[in-house]
Amino acid sequence: MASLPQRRPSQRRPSPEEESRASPQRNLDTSPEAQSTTPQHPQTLPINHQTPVSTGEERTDDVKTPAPSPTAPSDEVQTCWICFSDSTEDIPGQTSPWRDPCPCALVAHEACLLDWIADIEAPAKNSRARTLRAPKIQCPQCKTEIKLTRSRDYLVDAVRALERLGARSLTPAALLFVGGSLYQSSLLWGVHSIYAVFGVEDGWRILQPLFHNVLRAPLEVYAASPRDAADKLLGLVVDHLVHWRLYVGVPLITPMLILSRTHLADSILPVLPVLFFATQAHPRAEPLDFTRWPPSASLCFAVLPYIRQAYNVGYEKVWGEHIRRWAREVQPRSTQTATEEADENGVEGGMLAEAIDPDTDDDNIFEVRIDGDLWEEWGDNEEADEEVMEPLQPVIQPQQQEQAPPLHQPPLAETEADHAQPPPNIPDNRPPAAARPAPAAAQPHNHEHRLAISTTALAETILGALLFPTLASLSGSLLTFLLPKTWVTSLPVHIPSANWLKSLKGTDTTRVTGLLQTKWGRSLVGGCVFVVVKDAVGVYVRWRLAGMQRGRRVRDWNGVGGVGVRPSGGDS
Amino acid sequence: MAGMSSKRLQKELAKIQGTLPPGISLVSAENLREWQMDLSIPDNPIYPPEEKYRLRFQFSPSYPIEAPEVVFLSLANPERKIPLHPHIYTNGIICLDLLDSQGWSPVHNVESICISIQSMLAGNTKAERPPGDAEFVRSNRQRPRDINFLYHDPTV
Repeated sequence: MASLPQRRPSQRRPSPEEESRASPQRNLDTSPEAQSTTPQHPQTLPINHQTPVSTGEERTDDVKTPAPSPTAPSDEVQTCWICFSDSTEDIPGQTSPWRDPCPCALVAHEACLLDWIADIEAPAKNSRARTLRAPKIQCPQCKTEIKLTRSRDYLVDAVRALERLGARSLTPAALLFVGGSLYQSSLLWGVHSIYAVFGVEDGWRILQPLFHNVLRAPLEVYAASPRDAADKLLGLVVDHLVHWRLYVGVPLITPMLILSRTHLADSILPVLPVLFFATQAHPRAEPLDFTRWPPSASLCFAVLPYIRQAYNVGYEKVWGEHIRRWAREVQPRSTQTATEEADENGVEGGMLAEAIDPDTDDDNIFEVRIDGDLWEEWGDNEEADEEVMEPLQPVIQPQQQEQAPPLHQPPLAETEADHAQPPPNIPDNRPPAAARPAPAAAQPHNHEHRLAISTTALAETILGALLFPTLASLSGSLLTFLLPKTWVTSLPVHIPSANWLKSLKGTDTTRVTGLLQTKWGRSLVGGCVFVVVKDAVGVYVRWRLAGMQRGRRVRDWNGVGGVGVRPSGGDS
Repeated sequence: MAGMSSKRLQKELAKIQGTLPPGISLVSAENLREWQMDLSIPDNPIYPPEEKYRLRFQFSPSYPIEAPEVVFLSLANPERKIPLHPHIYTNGIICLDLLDSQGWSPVHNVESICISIQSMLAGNTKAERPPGDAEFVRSNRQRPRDINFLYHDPTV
């Protein structure tokens, strides 16, 4: 018969053709030996379909046979399932040997198999096939693992495993890096805010445990002396645990400030002061003292959201309708009907964008959409689908100047004057600072509009939020200059007084007794005053704008030329 | 490598010119690297029996290690449309695990691909296009083999 296939030493699993290999004839499916295996045909029909009939012979084989009778590889025609050539086309010197690596009947040239395996292990099509371990090579039909003998170099294996590990951990590492950067910058800005509001001494006292850790040398520097490294590590862990409020709280100031400008966290923030009251630790086991004046810093900041909401409601009740009316007057008349409809639906003032669906969410009426900074007040909010005219933006603003300023103050630790509690209740104080939703003005609580936030508005919001503590602090300092000395400096005066006003001025017994005598108190009050003043100015401006709008007249051309107008009785 | 692919393709061609399952017919294979087959689906109301669909196979030099690129063609003369199936986009790209490097192995061949596609169509009950079809057709620039399909629907 034709050239026999090159044979390996017999590790071949028996296949039916081998049984009949004793006979020099080829197996025909009519041969008696082969027929013993015909019951197995149906299993391997798919394979049989693709077996080429180039040799013109029927093949009965490629069937799993349970009868093991290892015989020498026969002169049976084998077909490589990869290249589809069969043993009849073998050239003795060139064709690579046949291999049968798995129990099923698929056989192939060794070169073909190695090619295919190489493709599986290092696929040309990159990323998706990257797994942590080398992919298993399985026979496509019987799924048995195909084993290779390879020289094992442990170093190579180790390096490849490391490479795969590295590839897998790329994303988490990148995220960690970005997160770490954000954390550090938030921390830094939180520190700045605390200093701004609390002043130098108090701020230092609060932040002191934090500082030496912020700037410490990284641990790997101590790798040379392991004991030092262990010590430092232990110290670091303990420090973090003890002062966890600092490490968690200070960085959180920054995002809270920003969040309070949006209404992303509005549902949570008013709740936080309640949590604060519930969880506050009292070092001396005294109940929260509401009657003592001045109140502790934590109490103040915790109460701030409620004060703010009260102010918002009051403001809306008193001025809301007026502001809306004035805003309408500044608009061209064609848009006024639409805005009237919007107003009827209880939309907060400033919903001048007629394209906008009226916002019927009742909660939002209390929401403060604050644009705290003075220079942003007159700014142009380029919310995309706002069809509000630009001059209307300022009109809308005062609506939304609420108590943003005072309430933006970052949660701050109590001063030691109030409690001897070393770790500041920063997280607890945060709610007050946070509870100021203040999207850029004229941005209704409409979901469609959230999507249309322009980057300019976003930048304004964020910057405004971040700068707020500084502004409050500056306002507080301004108060220092404006108010009488006795109000704002702490004197050891021992005049008992029942009058709360006097105690505000700090003429009570203890050293620091007035809200205004502490730097943070001044900042707090300064911020409130800032907001109120800004609102007042805003209201005034809108009123004037509306008034001025009414008084406009177009002037006729006085020079040469022009059509001239017959004086008419009517007036525009 | 190209030698192996040519040899194998020649063998497959020879076999295909013999007998083929019903509904599958060879249209052209003058270019050994690009074949066209016609497919028709019996017994499924979504696909009228007289309607044929044109498949184009493109083989790379590393066939059969690498899967061929198989797409449906839309022709005017003779009229061939893209069949309606939740895994077939209107530009003819087929989302089938068999055709992707993950699901392909050299044990398949042109005929088995045709049979698989035929059975995928024959067993289909949803006469719809894939979700995001318009967007995909509009914005896709990759060759089918470069697209990372998510094979999540085993029922079709």
